[in-house]
Amino acid sequence: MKQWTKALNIGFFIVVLGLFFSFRQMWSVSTDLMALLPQNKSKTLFETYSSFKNAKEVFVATQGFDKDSLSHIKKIEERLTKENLLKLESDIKLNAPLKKYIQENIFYLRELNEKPSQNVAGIVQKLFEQITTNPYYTAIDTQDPLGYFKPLNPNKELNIKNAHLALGDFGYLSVFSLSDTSNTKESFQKVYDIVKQEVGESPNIKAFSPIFYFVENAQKTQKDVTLIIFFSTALLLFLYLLVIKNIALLFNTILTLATSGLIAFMATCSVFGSVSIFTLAFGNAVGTLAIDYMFHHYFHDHYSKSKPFSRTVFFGFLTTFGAFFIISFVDFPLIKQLSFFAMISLFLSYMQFAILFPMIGFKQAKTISTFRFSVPLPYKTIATISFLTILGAIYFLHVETDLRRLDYQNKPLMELEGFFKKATLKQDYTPILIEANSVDELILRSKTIQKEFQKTLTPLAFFVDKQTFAKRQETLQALDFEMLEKEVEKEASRIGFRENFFKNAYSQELLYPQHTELDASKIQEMGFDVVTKNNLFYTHAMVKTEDVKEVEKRGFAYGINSKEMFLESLKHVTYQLLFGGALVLVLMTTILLITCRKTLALSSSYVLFPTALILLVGINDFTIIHIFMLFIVIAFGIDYGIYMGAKEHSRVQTKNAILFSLMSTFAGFGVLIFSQIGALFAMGLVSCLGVGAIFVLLLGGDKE
Amino acid sequence: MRPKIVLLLLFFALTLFAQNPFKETRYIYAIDKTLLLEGYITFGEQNVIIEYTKPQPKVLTYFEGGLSIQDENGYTATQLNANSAMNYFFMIIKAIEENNDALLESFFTSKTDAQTTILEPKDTASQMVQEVKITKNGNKLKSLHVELKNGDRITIETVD
Repeated sequence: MKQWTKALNIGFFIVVLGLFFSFRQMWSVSTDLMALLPQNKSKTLFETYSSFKNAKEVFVATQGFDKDSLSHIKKIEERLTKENLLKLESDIKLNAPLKKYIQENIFYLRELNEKPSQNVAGIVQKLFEQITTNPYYTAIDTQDPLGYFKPLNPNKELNIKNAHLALGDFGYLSVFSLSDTSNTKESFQKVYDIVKQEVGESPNIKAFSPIFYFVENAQKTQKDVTLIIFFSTALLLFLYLLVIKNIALLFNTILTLATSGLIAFMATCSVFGSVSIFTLAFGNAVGTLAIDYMFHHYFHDHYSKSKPFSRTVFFGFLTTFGAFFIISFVDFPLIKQLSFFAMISLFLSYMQFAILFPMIGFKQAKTISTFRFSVPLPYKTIATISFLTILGAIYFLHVETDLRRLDYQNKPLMELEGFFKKATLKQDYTPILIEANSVDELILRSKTIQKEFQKTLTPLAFFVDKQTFAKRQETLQALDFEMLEKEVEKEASRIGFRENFFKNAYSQELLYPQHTELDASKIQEMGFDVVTKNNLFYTHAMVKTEDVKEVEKRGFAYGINSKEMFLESLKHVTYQLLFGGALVLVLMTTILLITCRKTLALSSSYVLFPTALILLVGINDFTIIHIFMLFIVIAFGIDYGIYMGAKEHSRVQTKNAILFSLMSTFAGFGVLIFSQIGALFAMGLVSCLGVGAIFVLLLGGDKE
Repeated sequence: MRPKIVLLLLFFALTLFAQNPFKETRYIYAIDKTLLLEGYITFGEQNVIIEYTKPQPKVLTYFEGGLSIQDENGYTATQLNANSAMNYFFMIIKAIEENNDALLESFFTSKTDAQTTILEPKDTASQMVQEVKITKNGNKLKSLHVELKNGDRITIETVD
């Protein structure tokens, strides 16, 4: 029996490991933060915007406007487009379908001059003088000799130097779109590699694309997390060897944590499709929460002597598990995934530490004697002040909703992005998405925004919608162009122009063409962005950031801002979070009242003091990760509060167990403070503050 | 848009005769007449000055983003937008001065046969220009001939 139970843990681990490798194609780790946001209108709009080629363009700029710079950028253009991964978008030449559209609709695309002169003879005379006396060669617009229409300039929004797109005063700019619209990590990686290979590390060339964030951040995140997991595991191993001093127990503890982690990983993958890299890092750290159960059983001789079931550890586990269970109902994928992973991992670890380990049995090694001294601490005062601090801090708390703060802070790339935005004068602009029931309505709505808001960049407003077309046709019909054309011809002959030179002026073909019906594919052929989703049509525009709210009031335009999107996602779950938080508090208070009624101030201070400290430190910059980690600190705080309140155990041994739990918590969670990824750093910071606060409380004496 | 391109080509032609006196023959199809012009061109670091002496004295100064004309009626200046012919003008001038092939290739494909180079317009330029012919005598430019799609022809010759 004993041999069998001893092998049980190993056997269990081997089976789980076997399952993990047998179905390894099913497991995947995701670094995409977007995937962790709830699916709502805001996220759908963001995804729609991301599907535009405009949102994934690659910008390359060479410094200077000299011949070498131009030659260089042209060579880069040639090389980058050679493999058909990228398509040059910054070519100022018009494509054939767009050229045809312009030719057919020229009198509808050009703005009408409000008050053109009615003096035909005078105008024709002036034209004659211009071509004969102007020092520079002047050609006559034979389609509109009287100047009824303003010149058309489809490139007016572009900064062009030497027939090439320019990036402010920096140099030449080339803009590429991705030929592969699959939006996969692989396609982004290919583009990233080829751009980096062609552009190299020259300080005279700058290259940026929003897709670089996907590639570089994923690489950096993976590297960072791997390093931290390795460091954390090494630290934990060292710590356990130092503390446990029992190789068999250490071996079994590692197997238990690995088994729980693997099962939690596989279960999360099966339920959620993939496991976020954040959940993985968090999962590794959850193991340190679970080790707490082992330490308490071990230090209180549950593995070396036959002792009854530890009610204290069970309540500790129940509180933590309960807290994760309650918040797992919050309708937010990131929270759901983390809670799900934690519940499985904690449950399996607890079952093994509390049931299997006493069956296996481990000798109690002589522990390092620690708390030989204590400082009298006023726990009641600490609890009261902490409680009041929490109330005050909650009032002044600023919740940071910028999603990018949670990602890897890729400063070099952020600087590059800032550089390109500044040079293109777009740093004060926000992209918006325009929605409509048809392409025609989309054009009309683009025109409305362009008309109502100054300095907007609305590409689709270039086209003519049915309504504008009909209005222009009506205006043109009111002007007697047939008569004007005859008058022009008459005056031209009189002044000395060649016979029939103006025969094409104001032709019926240009004055009254058929309205060109545009669909999404035709617009795309002409190089503009339109996508269809759920029978709705979308295009993009850029508006001044201060105008976004006003533009959104139209009801068909939405600002694209990841910060706002995250805020909206949070708003949707605010009540669930508050309700969940309240339930967790009720659960904790109930358990505290059941288990530590007599030591309420001491036990509650293990929750209140760390919470107050965390809220105070993070008051200006509290992210969702801070909130989530706060729940965890509260969870292990309450565990320790319960353990400290338990009278059946030796207080010194309890303190020892908590101290070693804290050390392992630091090794698991605390090391995340060295991460460059916003979310992991927040986890590390909060846990370090929690560990520090609890350590201070541990120094206190027995008397309250 | 069209006049700008032709203007550009004219300047292109003129720049070939940098710091040299030149003669220009301009055939205008609209009135079936030929105009004769004469003058000098000077290149500065940031500007180009074209001084016509015949038929009427006029000075044109081009600088980035602007054009000024000075004649007996006084001085007029116009600010040109960034992607106007002005930028093309500078572009062509620089192309000639610096042998900037990358820039010229934006508009033309060239064929050289002995002393004559034919520039065939492409893309936007092809809507206006029929052909450009440059004749050299050794390394020195002899003449430049531009044929436009509207029937106009411009020939510029260096004056020894």
